[in-house]
Amino acid sequence: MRQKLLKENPDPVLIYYLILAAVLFCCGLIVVLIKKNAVMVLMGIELMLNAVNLNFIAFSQYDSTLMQGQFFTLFILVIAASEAAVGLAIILNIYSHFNSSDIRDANTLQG
Amino acid sequence: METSFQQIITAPPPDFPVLVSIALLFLPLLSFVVLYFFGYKLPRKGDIYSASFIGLAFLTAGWLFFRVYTSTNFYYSFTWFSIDAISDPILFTMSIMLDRVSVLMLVIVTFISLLVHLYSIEYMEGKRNYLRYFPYLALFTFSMLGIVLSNNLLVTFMFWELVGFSSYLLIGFWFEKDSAGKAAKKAFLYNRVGDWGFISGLLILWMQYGTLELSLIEVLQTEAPSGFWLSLAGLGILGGVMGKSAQFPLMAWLPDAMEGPTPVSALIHAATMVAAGIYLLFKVFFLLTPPVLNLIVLIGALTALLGAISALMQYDIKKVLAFSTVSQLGYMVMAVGTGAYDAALFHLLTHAFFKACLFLTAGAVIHEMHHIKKHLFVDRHFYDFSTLDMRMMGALKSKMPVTFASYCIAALSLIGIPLFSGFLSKDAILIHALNWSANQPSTVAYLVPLSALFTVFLTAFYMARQIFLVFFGEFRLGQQFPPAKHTFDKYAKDPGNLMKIPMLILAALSLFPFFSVNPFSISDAWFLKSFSATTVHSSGLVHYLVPIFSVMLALTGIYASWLLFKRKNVFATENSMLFSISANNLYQDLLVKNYIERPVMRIAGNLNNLDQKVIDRALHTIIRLQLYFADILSAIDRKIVDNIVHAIAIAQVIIAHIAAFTDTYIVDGFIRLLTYCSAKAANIARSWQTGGIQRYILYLSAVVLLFLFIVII
Repeated sequence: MRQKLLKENPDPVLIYYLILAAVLFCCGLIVVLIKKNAVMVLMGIELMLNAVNLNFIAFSQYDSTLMQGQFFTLFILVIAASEAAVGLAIILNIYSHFNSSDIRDANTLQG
Repeated sequence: METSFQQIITAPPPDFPVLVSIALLFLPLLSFVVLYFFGYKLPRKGDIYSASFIGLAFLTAGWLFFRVYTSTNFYYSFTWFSIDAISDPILFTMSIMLDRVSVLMLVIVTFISLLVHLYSIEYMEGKRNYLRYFPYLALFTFSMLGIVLSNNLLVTFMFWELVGFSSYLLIGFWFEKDSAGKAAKKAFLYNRVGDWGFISGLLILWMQYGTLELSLIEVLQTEAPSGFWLSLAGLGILGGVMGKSAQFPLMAWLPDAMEGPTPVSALIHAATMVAAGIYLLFKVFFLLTPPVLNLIVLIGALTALLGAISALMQYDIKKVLAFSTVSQLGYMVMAVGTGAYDAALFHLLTHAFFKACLFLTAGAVIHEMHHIKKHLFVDRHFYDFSTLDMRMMGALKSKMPVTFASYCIAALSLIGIPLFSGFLSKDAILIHALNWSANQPSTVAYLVPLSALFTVFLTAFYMARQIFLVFFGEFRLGQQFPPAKHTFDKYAKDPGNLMKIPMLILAALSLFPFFSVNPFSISDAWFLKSFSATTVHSSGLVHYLVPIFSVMLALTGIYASWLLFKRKNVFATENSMLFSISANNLYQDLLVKNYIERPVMRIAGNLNNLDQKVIDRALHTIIRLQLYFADILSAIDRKIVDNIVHAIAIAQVIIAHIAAFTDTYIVDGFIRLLTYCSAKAANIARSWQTGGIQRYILYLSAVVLLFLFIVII
């Protein structure tokens, strides 16, 4: 598979960034899927966002003039910060409502 | 059906006088309904209302009289109902005829009815059943007006029967008295015998002409006269007249009918009901064939004579008047028979007034005798006597001057003394009877005017006798029972105004000026002139001789009566055979009892035996046979029909069970399976929605991965 990747992508460094980003994304996804605490879930989401950021930055070297990837990354960082604030506020409300920050207790949306 | 509709549509609306006459007809009926159902709530039990209803009717009749008498006749007929036959619908019509005679009759009936109402208010005061008296009077007046107005014989017959019924009610008014009940029954039965003839006559007329409309029959009869059937129909109608107008041999009910209250006698048995027969004869005069007319003359003359003979020796003050009425009705019938129907109607008119006056004055006398009896009772003198018995009266002249004067005027009118109305009408009848007999082939016919003249003598005799007995001489009750003399001196007096005024009015109407300007000649009577072709042709000599002769006979009668009266108590003690024949009404009741009632009862008894022994036995056998058949049928029913029915029922139950099984386990089961499956599917789908966010994300990730995998590979 590695040979195949190398054959299709002429830049050998980029592939490592991409692999790192994929690993990071999977870590975030796993954290989101398996952690009980809502705060941890939020942190998992941050991980996944950062993995995406890494991808953007890695790809931005092919865009030498406009640097769209890096600007996008900056946007995402700002949005992630505000999203974390909103998420924490929601978690606080969930806690005050269910008396727990366990995400499995907030299951009243079930059918 | 179409023709009758056509007739209804095309028939012109009735003239105004016809409408007025219909209203007039229903006024007394309204009075009857109001008084009969609500009388007990009205003040004085409604007698004033009844009298005012009749008064209104009288005013209406007076208007009609002046409207019709001087102008044309009014005739209105309409279809009552029709029966569809195969060829032609059979039409039953009703009709009203307003001609001179009928409007005059309307005036007489309502006028006398009004006077009788007023008189009764005082006469009946405090009597038992006062409440029912006035409705009955009103009902009677209604029926009588119906006879007068109707021009259709069927409708006439219906009102004829109503008259019979209401007179039955009135005659039996004091039904607590056994004799009153019997008299009412007798009157009704005698009338029924006559009505049998009447309705037979109607049936024959219907068979011959197909209608009972008098004006139609009159037209048809001139086209196709059929002698035999017409005579038979005339005989039948004569039968009805004999019953209603108390002609021989159906005359025995009228004297007994005096059991009714005296004002009732004045209305019914003097002026109206008995006059209905004469009126009917006048109406159907064109139908009467010569043989029937001869029979009518015979019956009339015989009735006049027999009535007068029976009146001679009665002691009951009202029975004298009753027999006198029979006799006078005989005159009228005889006059119709001789063709002088106008003279008959003229006598009907005058007789209505003077005879009603006589009855009302007799009522006043009876009323006074009642008072004396009551005062005697109050003074603790107990003496039972009949208040109608003339042997107990006498010397009332000075005590009751008004009553005496009215009585004398009416009696002189009845006797036929000049200056009084009776003279004019009786004269007309006598002259015409003589003319008639002169035209007959046989000299035997002269017996008719002779017997009529002899009746004049008898009439004078019995009326004078009555006046002498009642008003002259000594007060005989006082002689028999001394305390009564004192009571008589103290209390006897004329009745009150309500009774006096009707008496005086009627007495005044018994004088000549109301009927003719010349008191000695009938040729000036306005009533006779009103007929276009008067039948009274008096040739010179007869015209003078007959009145003179009849007046002489009448005076002789009065003188004979006076002579006998002078021999003291000759009326009270007479005991000869002639006397008893007269007093017992020629033994008519006995004859009826022996020769009609007994044979009828014997035949009825034999028929009863026959019925029980033969017919009943045959009927029983038939019934037994029927029962036997019924048993057989019942057995067949039980054994065969019932079993079949049972088998069918069982089969039906089995089929029903099968159907129920199918329904429960197959149809229902399939439905239940469907519901079960859908519930399961729903549960599975539901279980996926746990509400766990992480699980949703997992599913999402898995789906995205799957998608990517498919896209990339």
